[in-house]
Amino acid sequence: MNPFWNPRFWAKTWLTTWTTGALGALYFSDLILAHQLDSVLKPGYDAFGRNCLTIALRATGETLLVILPWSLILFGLAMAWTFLKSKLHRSAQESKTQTEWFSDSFLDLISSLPGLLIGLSISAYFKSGWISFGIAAVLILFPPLARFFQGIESSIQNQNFYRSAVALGAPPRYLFKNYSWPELLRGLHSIWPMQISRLILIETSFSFLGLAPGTGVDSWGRIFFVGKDYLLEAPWIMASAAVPLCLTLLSFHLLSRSEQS
Amino acid sequence: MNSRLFSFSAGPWRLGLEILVLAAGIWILSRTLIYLVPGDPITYLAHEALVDLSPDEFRSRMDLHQSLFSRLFAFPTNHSLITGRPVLPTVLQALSQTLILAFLTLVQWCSMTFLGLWLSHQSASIRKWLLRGSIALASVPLFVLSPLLLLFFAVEIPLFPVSHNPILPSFALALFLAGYWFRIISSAIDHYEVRSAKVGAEARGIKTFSVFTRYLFVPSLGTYFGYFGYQVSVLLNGSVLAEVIFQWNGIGSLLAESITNRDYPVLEVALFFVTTIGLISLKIGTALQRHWEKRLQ
Repeated sequence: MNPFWNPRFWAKTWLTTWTTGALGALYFSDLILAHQLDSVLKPGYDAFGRNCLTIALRATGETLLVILPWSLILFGLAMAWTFLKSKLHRSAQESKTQTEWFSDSFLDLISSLPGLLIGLSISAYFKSGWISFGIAAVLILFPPLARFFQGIESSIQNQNFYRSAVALGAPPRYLFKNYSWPELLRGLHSIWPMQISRLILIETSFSFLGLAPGTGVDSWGRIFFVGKDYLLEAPWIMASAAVPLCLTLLSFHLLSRSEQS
Repeated sequence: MNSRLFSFSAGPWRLGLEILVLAAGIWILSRTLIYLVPGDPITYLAHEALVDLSPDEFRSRMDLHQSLFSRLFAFPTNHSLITGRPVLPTVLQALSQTLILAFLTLVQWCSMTFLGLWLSHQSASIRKWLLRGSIALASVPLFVLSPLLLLFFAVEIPLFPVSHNPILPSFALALFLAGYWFRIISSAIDHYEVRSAKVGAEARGIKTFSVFTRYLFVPSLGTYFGYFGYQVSVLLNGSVLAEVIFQWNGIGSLLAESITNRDYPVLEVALFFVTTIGLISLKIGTALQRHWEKRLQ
Protein backbone atom coordinates (compact mmCIF):
# COMPACT_ATOMS: atom_id res chain seq x y z
CA MET A 1 0.00 0.00 0.00
CA ASN A 2 1.22 3.50 -0.84
CA PRO A 3 2.26 5.08 2.47
CA PHE A 4 0.85 8.45 1.40
CA TRP A 5 -2.66 6.94 1.58
CA ASN A 6 -2.03 5.41 4.98
CA PRO A 7 -3.36 7.56 7.87
CA ARG A 8 -0.89 5.88 10.23
CA PHE A 9 2.00 7.23 8.15
CA TRP A 10 0.69 10.79 8.45
CA ALA A 11 -0.05 10.35 12.13
CA LYS A 12 3.50 9.21 12.82
CA THR A 13 4.96 11.95 10.62
CA TRP A 14 2.97 14.63 12.39
CA LEU A 15 3.84 13.35 15.86
CA THR A 16 7.55 13.03 15.04
CA THR A 17 7.77 16.48 13.45
CA TRP A 18 5.78 18.29 16.08
CA THR A 19 7.49 16.58 19.02
CA THR A 20 10.92 17.37 17.58
CA GLY A 21 9.87 21.00 17.18
CA ALA A 22 8.52 21.04 20.74
CA LEU A 23 11.74 19.68 22.22
CA GLY A 24 13.71 22.21 20.20
CA ALA A 25 11.45 24.99 21.45
CA LEU A 26 12.07 23.90 25.04
CA TYR A 27 15.81 24.02 24.43
CA PHE A 28 15.71 27.49 22.85
CA SER A 29 13.01 28.83 25.17
CA ASP A 30 14.87 32.09 25.94
CA LEU A 31 14.74 33.08 22.30
CA ILE A 32 11.10 32.08 22.00
CA LEU A 33 9.87 34.02 24.99
CA ALA A 34 11.32 37.26 23.61
CA HIS A 35 8.69 39.94 23.19
CA GLN A 36 8.38 42.04 20.04
CA LEU A 37 6.25 44.89 21.26
CA ASP A 38 5.70 46.29 17.76
CA SER A 39 4.00 42.99 16.77
CA VAL A 40 1.36 42.84 19.51
CA LEU A 41 -1.84 41.21 18.15
CA LYS A 42 -0.52 41.27 14.60
CA PRO A 43 -1.24 38.12 12.54
CA GLY A 44 0.84 35.32 14.03
CA TYR A 45 1.63 37.17 17.27
CA ASP A 46 -0.12 37.10 20.60
CA ALA A 47 -1.10 39.87 23.01
CA PHE A 48 2.47 40.04 24.34
CA GLY A 49 4.19 40.23 20.96
CA ARG A 50 5.40 36.62 20.97
CA ASN A 51 5.28 34.37 17.92
CA CYS A 52 2.22 32.10 18.33
CA LEU A 53 3.70 29.08 16.58
CA THR A 54 6.83 28.99 18.72
CA ILE A 55 4.75 29.50 21.86
CA ALA A 56 2.56 26.56 20.82
CA LEU A 57 5.67 24.42 20.25
CA ARG A 58 7.02 25.32 23.66
CA ALA A 59 3.62 24.61 25.23
CA THR A 60 3.74 21.14 23.69
CA GLY A 61 7.15 20.59 25.23
CA GLU A 62 5.82 21.68 28.64
CA THR A 63 2.89 19.28 28.30
CA LEU A 64 5.18 16.39 27.33
CA LEU A 65 7.40 17.03 30.36
CA VAL A 66 4.35 16.63 32.60
CA ILE A 67 2.52 13.72 30.97
CA LEU A 68 5.37 11.37 30.09
CA PRO A 69 6.45 10.63 33.69
CA TRP A 70 2.82 10.22 34.75
CA SER A 71 2.12 7.85 31.86
CA LEU A 72 4.98 5.64 33.05
CA ILE A 73 3.68 5.81 36.63
CA LEU A 74 0.16 4.89 35.50
CA PHE A 75 1.30 1.94 33.41
CA GLY A 76 3.49 0.78 36.28
CA LEU A 77 0.61 1.05 38.76
CA ALA A 78 -1.75 -0.86 36.48
CA MET A 79 0.81 -3.64 35.93
CA ALA A 80 1.54 -3.83 39.66
CA TRP A 81 -2.20 -4.06 40.37
CA THR A 82 -2.53 -6.89 37.85
CA PHE A 83 0.41 -8.78 39.37
CA LEU A 84 -0.86 -8.33 42.95
CA LYS A 85 -4.38 -9.34 42.05
CA SER A 86 -3.27 -12.50 40.24
CA LYS A 87 -0.97 -13.39 43.17
CA LEU A 88 -3.81 -12.85 45.66
CA HIS A 89 -6.14 -14.84 43.47
CA ARG A 90 -3.82 -17.85 43.42
CA SER A 91 -3.06 -17.76 47.13
CA ALA A 92 -6.71 -17.36 48.22
CA GLN A 93 -8.36 -20.17 46.30
CA GLU A 94 -11.30 -20.54 48.68
CA SER A 95 -12.20 -16.87 48.64
CA LYS A 96 -11.81 -16.03 44.98
CA THR A 97 -15.25 -14.49 44.92
CA GLN A 98 -14.34 -12.12 47.73
CA THR A 99 -11.09 -10.95 46.13
CA GLU A 100 -12.89 -10.47 42.82
CA TRP A 101 -15.64 -8.53 44.54
CA PHE A 102 -13.26 -6.24 46.41
CA SER A 103 -11.11 -5.68 43.35
CA ASP A 104 -14.05 -4.92 41.05
CA SER A 105 -15.75 -2.73 43.64
CA PHE A 106 -12.58 -0.75 44.19
CA LEU A 107 -12.17 -0.14 40.47
CA ASP A 108 -15.88 0.70 40.15
CA LEU A 109 -15.58 3.21 42.96
CA ILE A 110 -12.60 4.94 41.39
CA SER A 111 -14.34 4.94 37.98
CA SER A 112 -17.39 6.63 39.45
CA LEU A 113 -15.41 9.52 40.90
CA PRO A 114 -15.22 12.64 38.74
CA GLY A 115 -11.43 12.55 38.62
CA LEU A 116 -10.92 15.94 37.07
CA LEU A 117 -13.05 17.67 39.70
CA ILE A 118 -11.36 15.83 42.52
CA GLY A 119 -7.92 16.66 41.16
CA LEU A 120 -8.95 20.29 40.84
CA SER A 121 -10.33 20.27 44.39
CA ILE A 122 -7.12 18.71 45.75
CA SER A 123 -5.20 21.54 44.11
CA ALA A 124 -7.12 23.99 46.31
CA TYR A 125 -5.88 22.24 49.46
CA PHE A 126 -2.38 21.18 48.44
CA LYS A 127 -1.31 23.67 45.77
CA SER A 128 -1.79 23.02 42.08
CA GLY A 129 0.94 20.96 40.51
CA TRP A 130 2.13 17.42 40.07
CA ILE A 131 0.13 15.90 42.92
CA SER A 132 -3.27 17.26 41.96
CA PHE A 133 -2.69 16.48 38.28
CA GLY A 134 -1.47 13.00 39.22
CA ILE A 135 -4.52 12.33 41.37
CA ALA A 136 -6.85 13.35 38.52
CA ALA A 137 -4.87 11.25 36.03
CA VAL A 138 -4.91 8.18 38.29
CA LEU A 139 -8.63 8.47 39.07
CA ILE A 140 -9.56 8.84 35.41
CA LEU A 141 -7.12 6.48 33.73
CA PHE A 142 -6.19 3.80 36.27
CA PRO A 143 -9.52 1.84 36.33
CA PRO A 144 -9.84 1.22 32.57
CA LEU A 145 -6.11 0.48 32.31
CA ALA A 146 -6.25 -1.94 35.25
CA ARG A 147 -9.31 -3.68 33.78
CA PHE A 148 -7.62 -3.94 30.39
CA PHE A 149 -4.53 -5.58 31.89
CA GLN A 150 -6.70 -7.82 34.10
CA GLY A 151 -8.50 -9.00 30.96
CA ILE A 152 -5.19 -9.91 29.32
CA GLU A 153 -4.01 -11.65 32.50
CA SER A 154 -7.27 -13.64 32.73
CA SER A 155 -6.98 -14.81 29.13
CA ILE A 156 -3.39 -15.94 29.75
CA GLN A 157 -4.40 -17.78 32.94
CA ASN A 158 -6.89 -19.82 30.92
CA GLN A 159 -4.20 -21.06 28.56
CA ASN A 160 -2.97 -24.66 28.90
CA PHE A 161 0.71 -23.72 29.09
CA TYR A 162 -0.04 -21.42 32.04
CA ARG A 163 -2.08 -24.03 33.85
CA SER A 164 0.66 -26.59 33.28
CA ALA A 165 3.25 -24.21 34.74
CA VAL A 166 1.02 -23.60 37.79
CA ALA A 167 0.51 -27.35 38.23
CA LEU A 168 4.27 -27.86 38.11
CA GLY A 169 4.63 -25.38 40.98
CA ALA A 170 6.04 -22.34 39.17
CA PRO A 171 6.18 -19.34 41.53
CA PRO A 172 3.99 -16.28 40.78
CA ARG A 173 6.98 -14.12 39.91
CA TYR A 174 8.21 -16.63 37.34
CA LEU A 175 4.74 -16.89 35.79
CA PHE A 176 4.36 -13.13 35.61
CA LYS A 177 7.83 -12.55 34.17
CA ASN A 178 7.75 -15.28 31.53
CA TYR A 179 4.10 -15.50 30.52
CA SER A 180 2.13 -12.43 31.59
CA TRP A 181 4.70 -9.67 31.14
CA PRO A 182 5.24 -10.14 27.34
CA GLU A 183 1.47 -10.20 26.73
CA LEU A 184 0.90 -7.15 28.92
CA LEU A 185 3.59 -5.27 27.02
CA ARG A 186 1.92 -6.23 23.77
CA GLY A 187 -1.39 -4.98 25.13
CA LEU A 188 0.29 -1.79 26.29
CA HIS A 189 1.56 -1.25 22.76
CA SER A 190 -2.05 -1.18 21.52
CA ILE A 191 -3.40 1.05 24.25
CA TRP A 192 -0.69 3.62 24.93
CA PRO A 193 -1.73 6.12 22.19
CA MET A 194 -5.23 6.43 23.65
CA GLN A 195 -3.85 6.86 27.18
CA ILE A 196 -1.37 9.53 26.09
CA SER A 197 -4.15 11.45 24.32
CA ARG A 198 -6.29 11.33 27.46
CA LEU A 199 -3.38 12.52 29.59
CA ILE A 200 -2.89 15.44 27.21
CA LEU A 201 -6.58 16.32 27.60
CA ILE A 202 -6.40 16.18 31.39
CA GLU A 203 -3.26 18.33 31.51
CA THR A 204 -4.74 20.83 29.07
CA SER A 205 -7.95 21.03 31.10
CA PHE A 206 -5.93 21.70 34.23
CA SER A 207 -3.90 24.45 32.63
CA PHE A 208 -7.04 25.93 31.03
CA LEU A 209 -8.43 26.39 34.52
CA GLY A 210 -5.17 27.91 35.71
CA LEU A 211 -4.01 24.93 37.77
CA ALA A 212 -1.22 23.67 35.58
CA PRO A 213 1.59 21.57 36.97
CA GLY A 214 5.08 22.22 35.72
CA THR A 215 6.85 25.54 35.53
CA GLY A 216 3.73 27.60 35.02
CA VAL A 217 4.92 29.06 31.74
CA ASP A 218 2.38 28.99 28.90
CA SER A 219 1.02 25.54 28.37
CA TRP A 220 -1.62 24.51 25.86
CA GLY A 221 -4.52 25.18 28.17
CA ARG A 222 -3.27 28.66 29.11
CA ILE A 223 -2.99 29.58 25.43
CA PHE A 224 -6.65 28.56 25.01
CA PHE A 225 -7.62 30.47 28.11
CA VAL A 226 -5.97 33.65 26.84
CA GLY A 227 -6.93 33.04 23.21
CA LYS A 228 -10.65 32.77 23.87
CA ASP A 229 -10.68 36.41 24.97
CA TYR A 230 -9.16 37.43 21.63
CA LEU A 231 -11.25 35.05 19.51
CA LEU A 232 -12.66 37.84 17.34
CA GLU A 233 -9.68 40.22 17.15
CA ALA A 234 -6.87 37.66 16.95
CA PRO A 235 -8.19 34.13 16.24
CA TRP A 236 -4.66 32.95 15.35
CA ILE A 237 -3.75 32.93 19.06
CA MET A 238 -6.22 30.15 19.74
CA ALA A 239 -5.73 28.52 16.35
CA SER A 240 -1.98 28.21 16.94
CA ALA A 241 -2.73 25.90 19.87
CA ALA A 242 -6.04 24.39 18.71
CA VAL A 243 -4.84 23.08 15.34
CA PRO A 244 -1.73 21.27 16.64
CA LEU A 245 -3.67 19.89 19.61
CA CYS A 246 -6.47 18.52 17.41
CA LEU A 247 -3.97 17.05 14.94
CA THR A 248 -2.02 15.46 17.80
CA LEU A 249 -5.14 13.94 19.33
CA LEU A 250 -6.31 12.76 15.90
CA SER A 251 -2.92 11.14 15.28
CA PHE A 252 -3.09 9.30 18.60
CA HIS A 253 -6.65 8.14 17.85
CA LEU A 254 -5.62 6.85 14.42
CA LEU A 255 -2.57 5.09 15.87
CA SER A 256 -4.71 3.58 18.61
CA ARG A 257 -7.29 2.27 16.12
CA SER A 258 -4.64 0.77 13.86
CA GLU A 259 -2.85 -0.86 16.84
CA GLN A 260 -6.11 -2.36 18.09
CA SER A 261 -7.09 -3.62 14.65
CA MET B 1 -15.76 -12.58 56.01
CA ASN B 2 -19.34 -13.77 55.96
CA SER B 3 -19.78 -15.45 52.58
CA ARG B 4 -23.52 -14.90 52.73
CA LEU B 5 -22.87 -11.23 52.20
CA PHE B 6 -21.41 -12.09 48.81
CA SER B 7 -23.81 -14.80 47.83
CA PHE B 8 -27.14 -13.06 47.84
CA SER B 9 -28.22 -11.58 44.53
CA ALA B 10 -27.57 -7.92 43.73
CA GLY B 11 -31.07 -6.77 44.58
CA PRO B 12 -32.15 -3.22 45.32
CA TRP B 13 -31.42 -3.58 49.05
CA ARG B 14 -27.81 -4.51 48.46
CA LEU B 15 -27.50 -1.72 45.89
CA GLY B 16 -28.93 0.78 48.36
CA LEU B 17 -26.61 -0.45 51.11
CA GLU B 18 -23.56 -0.16 48.85
CA ILE B 19 -24.50 3.38 47.83
CA LEU B 20 -25.15 4.36 51.45
CA VAL B 21 -21.81 3.02 52.67
CA LEU B 22 -19.85 4.62 49.84
CA ALA B 23 -21.69 7.95 50.16
CA ALA B 24 -20.90 7.94 53.89
CA GLY B 25 -17.24 7.34 53.07
CA ILE B 26 -17.23 10.20 50.59
CA TRP B 27 -18.93 12.48 53.14
CA ILE B 28 -16.33 11.63 55.78
CA LEU B 29 -13.52 12.24 53.29
CA SER B 30 -14.87 15.58 52.10
CA ARG B 31 -15.40 16.82 55.67
CA THR B 32 -11.97 15.69 56.90
CA LEU B 33 -9.95 16.90 53.91
CA ILE B 34 -9.30 20.21 55.66
CA TYR B 35 -7.55 18.36 58.50
CA LEU B 36 -5.07 16.88 56.03
CA VAL B 37 -3.56 20.23 55.12
CA PRO B 38 -0.08 20.87 56.53
CA GLY B 39 -0.22 22.41 59.98
CA ASP B 40 -3.21 23.97 61.73
CA PRO B 41 -6.27 24.26 59.45
CA ILE B 42 -7.13 27.76 60.69
CA THR B 43 -3.59 29.06 60.10
CA TYR B 44 -3.60 27.40 56.69
CA LEU B 45 -6.96 28.93 55.79
CA ALA B 46 -5.86 32.36 56.97
CA HIS B 47 -2.83 32.08 54.69
CA GLU B 48 -4.56 30.62 51.64
CA ALA B 49 -8.00 32.23 51.67
CA LEU B 50 -8.50 35.42 49.69
CA VAL B 51 -10.53 37.13 52.42
CA ASP B 52 -9.36 38.84 55.56
CA LEU B 53 -11.27 37.14 58.36
CA SER B 54 -10.49 36.57 62.01
CA PRO B 55 -9.68 33.00 63.16
CA ASP B 56 -13.04 32.83 64.98
CA GLU B 57 -14.83 33.81 61.82
CA PHE B 58 -12.99 31.06 59.90
CA ARG B 59 -13.91 28.54 62.58
CA SER B 60 -17.53 29.57 62.45
CA ARG B 61 -17.83 29.54 58.65
CA MET B 62 -16.01 26.24 58.28
CA ASP B 63 -17.88 24.57 61.20
CA LEU B 64 -14.47 24.01 62.78
CA HIS B 65 -15.79 25.23 66.14
CA GLN B 66 -17.55 21.85 66.30
CA SER B 67 -15.76 18.66 67.17
CA LEU B 68 -14.83 16.30 64.34
CA PHE B 69 -17.60 13.92 65.40
CA SER B 70 -20.20 16.71 65.27
CA ARG B 71 -18.84 17.91 61.96
CA LEU B 72 -19.25 14.48 60.45
CA PHE B 73 -22.69 13.66 61.77
CA ALA B 74 -24.39 17.06 61.90
CA PHE B 75 -26.17 18.85 59.11
CA PRO B 76 -23.65 21.10 57.31
CA THR B 77 -24.04 24.70 58.38
CA ASN B 78 -21.01 26.04 56.53
CA HIS B 79 -21.03 29.56 55.24
CA SER B 80 -19.10 30.76 52.22
CA LEU B 81 -15.82 32.48 53.05
CA ILE B 82 -16.36 34.96 50.21
CA THR B 83 -20.08 35.81 50.34
CA GLY B 84 -20.94 34.70 53.88
CA ARG B 85 -24.11 32.96 52.61
CA PRO B 86 -25.08 29.44 53.70
CA VAL B 87 -23.39 26.88 51.49
CA LEU B 88 -26.03 24.18 51.20
CA PRO B 89 -28.70 26.29 49.42
CA THR B 90 -26.02 27.72 47.07
CA VAL B 91 -24.77 24.26 46.18
CA LEU B 92 -28.27 22.85 45.72
CA GLN B 93 -29.18 25.72 43.40
CA ALA B 94 -26.03 25.19 41.35
CA LEU B 95 -26.75 21.47 41.28
CA SER B 96 -30.22 22.10 39.90
CA GLN B 97 -28.69 24.20 37.12
CA THR B 98 -26.26 21.42 36.29
CA LEU B 99 -29.08 18.88 36.28
CA ILE B 100 -30.92 21.04 33.72
CA LEU B 101 -27.75 21.13 31.63
CA ALA B 102 -27.26 17.38 32.05
CA PHE B 103 -30.85 16.65 31.04
CA LEU B 104 -30.57 18.75 27.89
CA THR B 105 -27.22 17.13 27.12
CA LEU B 106 -28.72 13.67 27.55
CA VAL B 107 -31.63 14.44 25.22
CA GLN B 108 -29.35 15.87 22.52
CA TRP B 109 -26.72 13.17 22.96
CA CYS B 110 -29.24 10.33 22.66
CA SER B 111 -30.94 11.97 19.67
CA MET B 112 -27.65 12.57 17.84
CA THR B 113 -26.33 9.09 18.53
CA PHE B 114 -29.57 7.38 17.53
CA LEU B 115 -29.88 9.48 14.37
CA GLY B 116 -26.28 8.77 13.43
CA LEU B 117 -26.73 5.03 14.00
CA TRP B 118 -29.98 4.99 12.04
CA LEU B 119 -28.40 6.84 9.10
CA SER B 120 -25.30 4.64 9.15
CA HIS B 121 -27.57 1.57 9.04
CA GLN B 122 -29.15 2.86 5.81
CA SER B 123 -26.00 3.23 3.76
CA ALA B 124 -22.41 2.03 3.94
CA SER B 125 -21.01 5.29 2.57
CA ILE B 126 -22.91 7.35 5.18
CA ARG B 127 -21.59 5.00 7.82
CA LYS B 128 -18.01 5.45 6.58
CA TRP B 129 -18.28 9.24 6.70
CA LEU B 130 -20.01 9.24 10.07
CA LEU B 131 -17.25 7.03 11.51
CA ARG B 132 -14.63 9.43 10.18
CA GLY B 133 -16.60 12.34 11.56
CA SER B 134 -16.83 10.72 14.99
CA ILE B 135 -13.05 10.19 15.07
CA ALA B 136 -12.55 13.83 14.09
CA LEU B 137 -15.04 14.92 16.75
CA ALA B 138 -13.28 12.87 19.41
CA SER B 139 -10.08 14.75 18.50
CA VAL B 140 -11.57 18.18 19.15
CA PRO B 141 -11.48 18.90 22.90
CA LEU B 142 -14.38 20.63 24.62
CA PHE B 143 -12.46 23.85 25.23
CA VAL B 144 -11.75 24.13 21.49
CA LEU B 145 -15.26 23.16 20.39
CA SER B 146 -17.05 25.43 22.86
CA PRO B 147 -15.53 28.78 21.79
CA LEU B 148 -16.06 27.80 18.15
CA LEU B 149 -19.75 27.09 18.81
CA LEU B 150 -19.96 30.36 20.70
CA LEU B 151 -18.38 32.22 17.78
CA PHE B 152 -20.66 30.71 15.14
CA PHE B 153 -23.99 30.41 16.92
CA ALA B 154 -23.88 33.34 19.31
CA VAL B 155 -21.73 35.97 17.58
CA GLU B 156 -21.69 35.44 13.81
CA ILE B 157 -25.22 34.01 13.60
CA PRO B 158 -26.87 35.22 16.83
CA LEU B 159 -29.21 32.29 17.39
CA PHE B 160 -28.43 31.92 21.09
CA PRO B 161 -27.27 34.25 23.87
CA VAL B 162 -23.54 34.39 24.53
CA SER B 163 -23.84 33.37 28.16
CA HIS B 164 -26.24 32.03 30.82
CA ASN B 165 -28.11 29.79 28.40
CA PRO B 166 -27.98 25.98 28.56
CA ILE B 167 -28.53 25.18 24.87
CA LEU B 168 -25.02 25.77 23.52
CA PRO B 169 -23.12 24.16 26.43
CA SER B 170 -25.42 21.12 26.31
CA PHE B 171 -24.91 20.92 22.54
CA ALA B 172 -21.12 21.07 23.00
CA LEU B 173 -21.21 18.33 25.66
CA ALA B 174 -23.57 16.22 23.55
CA LEU B 175 -21.24 16.45 20.53
CA PHE B 176 -18.29 15.56 22.74
CA LEU B 177 -20.04 12.41 24.00
CA ALA B 178 -21.86 11.43 20.81
CA GLY B 179 -18.63 11.07 18.81
CA TYR B 180 -17.33 8.40 21.18
CA TRP B 181 -20.63 6.59 21.75
CA PHE B 182 -21.53 6.42 18.09
CA ARG B 183 -18.45 4.28 17.42
CA ILE B 184 -18.99 2.09 20.47
CA ILE B 185 -22.65 1.32 19.81
CA SER B 186 -22.09 1.00 16.06
CA SER B 187 -19.49 -1.66 16.73
CA ALA B 188 -21.84 -3.40 19.20
CA ILE B 189 -24.64 -3.42 16.61
CA ASP B 190 -22.29 -4.93 14.02
CA HIS B 191 -21.36 -7.73 16.43
CA TYR B 192 -24.95 -8.36 17.44
CA GLU B 193 -26.46 -8.22 13.94
CA VAL B 194 -25.09 -11.65 13.01
CA ARG B 195 -27.12 -13.42 15.71
CA SER B 196 -30.11 -11.09 15.72
CA ALA B 197 -33.62 -11.81 14.46
CA LYS B 198 -33.36 -8.94 11.98
CA VAL B 199 -33.66 -11.10 8.85
CA GLY B 200 -36.77 -12.85 10.14
CA ALA B 201 -38.35 -9.56 11.13
CA GLU B 202 -37.71 -8.05 7.70
CA ALA B 203 -39.15 -11.18 6.07
CA ARG B 204 -42.32 -10.72 8.11
CA GLY B 205 -42.68 -7.23 6.62
CA ILE B 206 -41.91 -5.22 9.75
CA LYS B 207 -40.85 -1.68 8.91
CA THR B 208 -37.12 -0.95 8.68
CA PHE B 209 -37.22 1.59 11.50
CA SER B 210 -38.92 -0.86 13.87
CA VAL B 211 -36.50 -3.63 12.87
CA PHE B 212 -33.53 -1.39 13.57
CA THR B 213 -34.89 -0.14 16.90
CA ARG B 214 -36.29 -3.39 18.34
CA TYR B 215 -34.01 -6.01 16.88
CA LEU B 216 -30.65 -4.22 16.69
CA PHE B 217 -30.41 -0.99 18.67
CA VAL B 218 -32.13 -1.90 21.94
CA PRO B 219 -30.54 -5.37 22.37
CA SER B 220 -27.06 -3.92 21.62
CA LEU B 221 -27.59 -1.10 24.08
CA GLY B 222 -28.13 -3.26 27.13
CA THR B 223 -24.50 -4.19 27.69
CA TYR B 224 -23.57 -0.52 27.90
CA PHE B 225 -25.86 0.52 30.74
CA GLY B 226 -22.93 0.28 33.11
CA TYR B 227 -20.89 2.58 30.92
CA PHE B 228 -23.77 5.07 30.71
CA GLY B 229 -23.55 5.35 34.47
CA TYR B 230 -19.82 5.99 34.18
CA GLN B 231 -20.48 8.64 31.55
CA VAL B 232 -22.32 10.74 34.15
CA SER B 233 -19.01 11.35 35.92
CA VAL B 234 -17.45 12.12 32.52
CA LEU B 235 -20.31 14.57 32.00
CA LEU B 236 -19.64 16.18 35.36
CA ASN B 237 -15.95 16.48 34.46
CA GLY B 238 -16.81 18.07 31.13
CA SER B 239 -19.42 20.34 32.64
CA VAL B 240 -16.69 22.26 34.53
CA LEU B 241 -15.17 23.43 31.26
CA ALA B 242 -18.49 23.99 29.50
CA GLU B 243 -19.94 25.94 32.43
CA VAL B 244 -16.82 28.13 32.72
CA ILE B 245 -16.77 28.93 29.00
CA PHE B 246 -20.52 29.50 28.60
CA GLN B 247 -20.88 31.09 32.06
CA TRP B 248 -23.62 28.71 33.13
CA ASN B 249 -23.98 28.86 36.92
CA GLY B 250 -23.89 25.14 37.55
CA ILE B 251 -21.97 23.13 40.08
CA GLY B 252 -18.94 22.79 37.80
CA SER B 253 -18.56 26.53 37.56
CA LEU B 254 -19.22 26.83 41.32
CA LEU B 255 -16.45 24.32 42.01
CA ALA B 256 -14.03 26.09 39.66
CA GLU B 257 -14.79 29.43 41.36
CA SER B 258 -14.46 28.02 44.86
CA ILE B 259 -11.11 26.43 43.93
CA THR B 260 -9.80 29.71 42.51
CA ASN B 261 -11.13 31.73 45.46
CA ARG B 262 -10.11 29.06 48.02
CA ASP B 263 -13.71 28.99 49.30
CA TYR B 264 -13.29 25.75 51.26
CA PRO B 265 -16.78 25.51 52.79
CA VAL B 266 -18.36 25.56 49.32
CA LEU B 267 -15.70 23.17 48.04
CA GLU B 268 -16.41 20.59 50.76
CA VAL B 269 -20.14 20.38 50.17
CA ALA B 270 -20.01 20.70 46.36
CA LEU B 271 -17.37 17.99 46.11
CA PHE B 272 -19.52 15.63 48.17
CA PHE B 273 -22.58 16.12 45.95
CA VAL B 274 -20.67 15.79 42.70
CA THR B 275 -18.85 12.65 43.79
CA THR B 276 -21.97 11.00 45.20
CA ILE B 277 -23.96 11.66 42.04
CA GLY B 278 -21.24 10.03 39.95
CA LEU B 279 -21.17 7.05 42.29
CA ILE B 280 -24.96 6.59 42.36
CA SER B 281 -25.19 6.78 38.57
CA LEU B 282 -22.46 4.17 38.11
CA LYS B 283 -24.07 1.79 40.61
CA ILE B 284 -27.51 2.17 39.03
CA GLY B 285 -26.03 1.72 35.56
CA THR B 286 -24.22 -1.46 36.63
CA ALA B 287 -27.37 -2.85 38.28
CA LEU B 288 -29.41 -2.13 35.14
CA GLN B 289 -26.76 -3.83 33.02
CA ARG B 290 -26.83 -6.99 35.18
CA HIS B 291 -30.63 -7.02 35.05
CA TRP B 292 -30.58 -6.59 31.25
CA GLU B 293 -28.03 -9.37 30.77
CA LYS B 294 -30.13 -11.74 32.91
CA ARG B 295 -33.19 -10.98 30.76
CA LEU B 296 -31.25 -11.66 27.56
CA GLN B 297 -30.10 -15.00 28.95
